[in-house]
Amino acid sequence: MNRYETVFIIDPDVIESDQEAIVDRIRSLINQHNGRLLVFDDWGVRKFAYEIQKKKQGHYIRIEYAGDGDLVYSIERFFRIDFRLLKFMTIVLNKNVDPDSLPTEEPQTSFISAVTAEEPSAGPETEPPEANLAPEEESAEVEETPVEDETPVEDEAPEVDEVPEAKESEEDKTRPAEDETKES
Amino acid sequence: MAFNHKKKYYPRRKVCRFCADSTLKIDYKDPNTLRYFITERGKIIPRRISGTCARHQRQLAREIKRARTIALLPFVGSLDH
Ligand SMILES: [Zn+2]
Repeated sequence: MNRYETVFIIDPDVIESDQEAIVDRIRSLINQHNGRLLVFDDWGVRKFAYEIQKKKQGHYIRIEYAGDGDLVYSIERFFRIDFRLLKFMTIVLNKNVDPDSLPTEEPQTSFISAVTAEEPSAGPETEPPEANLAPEEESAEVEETPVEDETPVEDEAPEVDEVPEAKESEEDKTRPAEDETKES
Repeated sequence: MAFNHKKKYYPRRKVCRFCADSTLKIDYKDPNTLRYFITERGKIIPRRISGTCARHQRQLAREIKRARTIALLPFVGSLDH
């Protein structure tokens, strides 16, 4: 079992009940594949740095979960097929985690405050924060796992200050699995 | 005299900001920090200018690319910001 982090972006113009259905679908995919949802982190609607499918903003959700490759495959296939999903990205946080050592669902670690702070004041068409999108059952203890960024030096591309943009996704995919990034 | 000034010396080579401050995270989820390390056009600033050490520059590049992937940062030249 690996620990993954996936950020996905839902079309913010999709009605709320449909957005909830998308989230429910992901939850059930995780259950079907014997994975475990660890963190559900709703960033709300954020402005894009560039337009995606003519949209200027999207509803960002970040999840962390434990599971195997087939789970990631299923989730990403769902994302790819469903046109209401504008973008997604999956990262391997940890390889070979012990499923028994994992709590069921941690309260979210919040980057949100930092992240939304930079958001220019919401225009009239910005939805109110959709905090009600997926109410979380709180688990009492916060157990922060030291996952990220102790990456040993050699998993990186040779030292370049700037890489041609076109190679980006491909490059990410061919990187050793320890640090793989996929995109839509 | 036209050429009597030698090459200008810019004392901009600083210590790596991430080595200096270990609480500063390099994370695609924190585009505000990453923004210091890209140009207005969105290019990654070379470490010879920013002073970032090799190790942290690699992490920076990786996280900036991730942030671009999910539209938290622009790609080079995409100026619709
Ligand atoms: Zn450094």
